Amino acid sequence: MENNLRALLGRVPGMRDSILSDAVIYNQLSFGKRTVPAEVEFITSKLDQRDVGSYRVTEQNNIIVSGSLSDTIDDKSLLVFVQMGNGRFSTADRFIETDGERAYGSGVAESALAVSALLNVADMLAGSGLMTEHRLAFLFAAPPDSSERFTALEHFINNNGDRIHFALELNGIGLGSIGYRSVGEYTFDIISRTTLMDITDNPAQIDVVSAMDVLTELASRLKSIGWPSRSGVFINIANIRSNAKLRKIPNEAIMRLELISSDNEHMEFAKELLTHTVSKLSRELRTHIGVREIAHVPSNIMMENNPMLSQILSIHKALHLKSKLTLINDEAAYLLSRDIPALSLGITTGEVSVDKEYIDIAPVNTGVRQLFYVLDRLLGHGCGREV
Amino acid sequence: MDGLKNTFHHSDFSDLRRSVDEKERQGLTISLALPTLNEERTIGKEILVIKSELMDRFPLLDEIAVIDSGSTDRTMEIAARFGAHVMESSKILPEYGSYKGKGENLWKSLFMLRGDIIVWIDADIYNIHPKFVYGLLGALLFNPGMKYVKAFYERPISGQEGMRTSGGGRVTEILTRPVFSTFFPELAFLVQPLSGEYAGRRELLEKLPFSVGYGVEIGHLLDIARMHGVDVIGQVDLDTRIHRNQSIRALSRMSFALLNTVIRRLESYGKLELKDRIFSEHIAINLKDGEHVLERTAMESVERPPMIDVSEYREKFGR
Repeated sequence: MENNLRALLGRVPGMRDSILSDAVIYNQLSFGKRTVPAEVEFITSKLDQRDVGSYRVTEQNNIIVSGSLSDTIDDKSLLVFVQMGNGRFSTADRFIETDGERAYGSGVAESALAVSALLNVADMLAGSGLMTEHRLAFLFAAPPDSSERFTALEHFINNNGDRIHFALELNGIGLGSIGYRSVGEYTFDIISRTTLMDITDNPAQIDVVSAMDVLTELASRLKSIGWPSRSGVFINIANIRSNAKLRKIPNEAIMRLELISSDNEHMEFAKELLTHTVSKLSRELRTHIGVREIAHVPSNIMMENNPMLSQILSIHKALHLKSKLTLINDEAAYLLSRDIPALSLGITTGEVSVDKEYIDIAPVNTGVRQLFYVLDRLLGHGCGREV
Repeated sequence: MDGLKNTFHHSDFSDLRRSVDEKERQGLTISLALPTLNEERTIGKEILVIKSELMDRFPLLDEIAVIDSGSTDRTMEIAARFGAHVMESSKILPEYGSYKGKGENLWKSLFMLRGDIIVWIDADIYNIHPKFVYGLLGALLFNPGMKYVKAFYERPISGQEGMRTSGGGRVTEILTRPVFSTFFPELAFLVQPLSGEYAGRRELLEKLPFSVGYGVEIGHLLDIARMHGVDVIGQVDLDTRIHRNQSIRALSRMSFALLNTVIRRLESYGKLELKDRIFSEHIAINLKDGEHVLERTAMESVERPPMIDVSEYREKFGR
């Protein structure tokens, strides 16, 4: 077994270009509403082409690669997972360009690289026999629905949660970072609907509030609440959009709002306050304001004393990586909320900002080696000791 | 309504193992070349994707080369970094001089590449995919009578305002198709006769003259149809190709070069008799400081001889 893993480690340098190549093609898929989503079609066609036969696609479009083809993964499995999708960027923005040192393109760091890395690792491990022998399962989780963020993941966990011994989430960037704890987070869509007005109809209508007025007033009131600093409550207004048209005052607007806190009690209090503020404003302005809960992830520190943290720190040291303990992604946080031990790791370094997204190419090999060593420790082999 | 003959879809050849087996069974070597001039934005990923999939994973290609005609950006450096064999066009067969132009690059690549089958693809493809190569190759590998295969596709245009769903192929529709309909209707089945992606067998390519500029593709088609008939020409649907938009001025110059090539062919085939010389300067009109002025651009109308007529080539390939 150890020889198997060692042999695979020797092939890691050759994986980099394959990972990048798959990321380039994945990132230029035309995402959109189709019977079989483009990303599912892409990944399954690659798995077929590479003779990774032991996968299945669920009704929710989760792709599960494991040692068996049964509906559930094996008991006490080690799960490695990524989230598919990147439809929020236009195809033109997602075309990757590379100068040899970096690969640029919207979505490459956020999704494409992690998906591609997992695809290539699955390809390599499926051919090795390791997956069957060691209850290893890979999950390409279906893209989040715009209104229900964790639907597909939740479905997978409902069917398999009690069979997962440990979960690792792969991120495109953040090599060296170990995501291990989550802050609590509520995500809401707040919807305002008012009367449709033409700006030229009647000057008297200028006194009437528009849907955007309602939401900006609500945002202003929420942001001006003096939260005690120890509560750590942060109100994040992720975006506000409306149906504004030329000379029409918007009569429908939606605000995506996140309540974030590391203290679950304070966050519940913040949620109550939000509901109260919405009701009060609704009465004052005599308009309906709807609140829809999109997702809830409670604060979680269950991994704080998990022995894998120190093991990964030692792996990073041996690989000359600068380690950093960080917050875990929302998807992995969801697993923590279901009492599944989970950590997240990055594959390479890079940056995501408003006008730029890139990954560094050279560290990809180190990122994959890191993953192999972590898998080795989790599977209880000796190969990791030789880092 | 007539159907299109010799027409395939790239998915007909997506079983890459089968293609590799067929290549090996026939004992063929296959080369890919990308002619470049300042393509630093796209060359890296083209080589990365094609090499990774069609050399490293499925050994369909035996070599990938970049033939550059004097890039001033990082095209050559990036291409080499991703593992392509990079050659400067001017340094190949230097005793035969050097011209600027895509056709010149292709002609010289024929001397440098070692494949029995040569694939050429443009280096400005935003949505590069292995199908751009295996689609063309499949048509040749599984159809022994086929000697030359062209790509066709939808061509949405990528610009600063994002993707536009129509456009592209303007020179084809405005110039090439009317020319084919008038003089060479047997070639009118080709959806995109000017596409920059095509593959051919060396035994055919080495017998073709090459226009050094934009006329190279249309010249090939006319000569192949005349020498072998159109049954040796195939085309493969590659779905979609996204590339940068070219200005009307650039397309006008391209049309000029095509027209030049067509007229020369019509004359040499005895289809047309010119009573006077034709000119080699493209004349455009520019609005400069509120005034219309003529802008003249000398266009290279040189034709390289068939490579088989070059002694160095015959010596190298034992012809």
